[in-house]
Amino acid sequence: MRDFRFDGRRRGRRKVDRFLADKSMVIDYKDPSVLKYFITERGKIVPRRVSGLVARNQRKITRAIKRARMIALMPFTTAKAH
Amino acid sequence: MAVRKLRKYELIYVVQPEATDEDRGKIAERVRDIIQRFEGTLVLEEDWGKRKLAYEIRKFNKGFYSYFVFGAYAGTVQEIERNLRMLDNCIRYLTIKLEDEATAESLTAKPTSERRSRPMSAVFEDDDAGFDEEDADA
Repeated sequence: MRDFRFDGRRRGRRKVDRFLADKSMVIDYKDPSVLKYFITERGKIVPRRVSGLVARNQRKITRAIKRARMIALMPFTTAKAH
Repeated sequence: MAVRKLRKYELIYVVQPEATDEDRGKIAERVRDIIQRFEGTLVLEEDWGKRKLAYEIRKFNKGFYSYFVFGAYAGTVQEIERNLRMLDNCIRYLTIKLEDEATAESLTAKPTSERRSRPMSAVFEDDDAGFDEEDADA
């Protein structure tokens, strides 16, 4: 209901927090197969307005990605010719 | 008198890809030895095998990943990390505190590998599994 005020600009359906939608999904810095959905092709962490995560899960995912970067499970950046 | 707090930790370290099984065994043995020497308890030890690194470290693109879960008292982690720093074969390490006040039961209660969405064996099944640039989408 409270999202009605955005309807004018918002296209498509409202993004939902996939960790709330699928309880079996766990945020774990050791699992890059989950984390990779939350970074851009350049390796940046996707902002909350795009990822659709609730604040709590966005903080968790941010932390997980930063930890994963430290042990080279995730990239800090990806060199790409643009 | 200060009370000794038992804490639960997990450790991941990466060994350079050209290291022999013997080199890797020695490092693992050293970690086990320190945990024991500091009266800690080893809960879980996993070998994730050779994985692709997400970025180049010391000109290496791959590395052997090892994973430990253990209960230990103050000073243990410092000693383990001090040792890993000295070993040239070890190119990365990371220790995460899982519980600040662990008990004998909580150490084994919920091994993180079981709480994970997928067992690590499935995640790391493929030798080259790991971060794939093409897969990343916003």
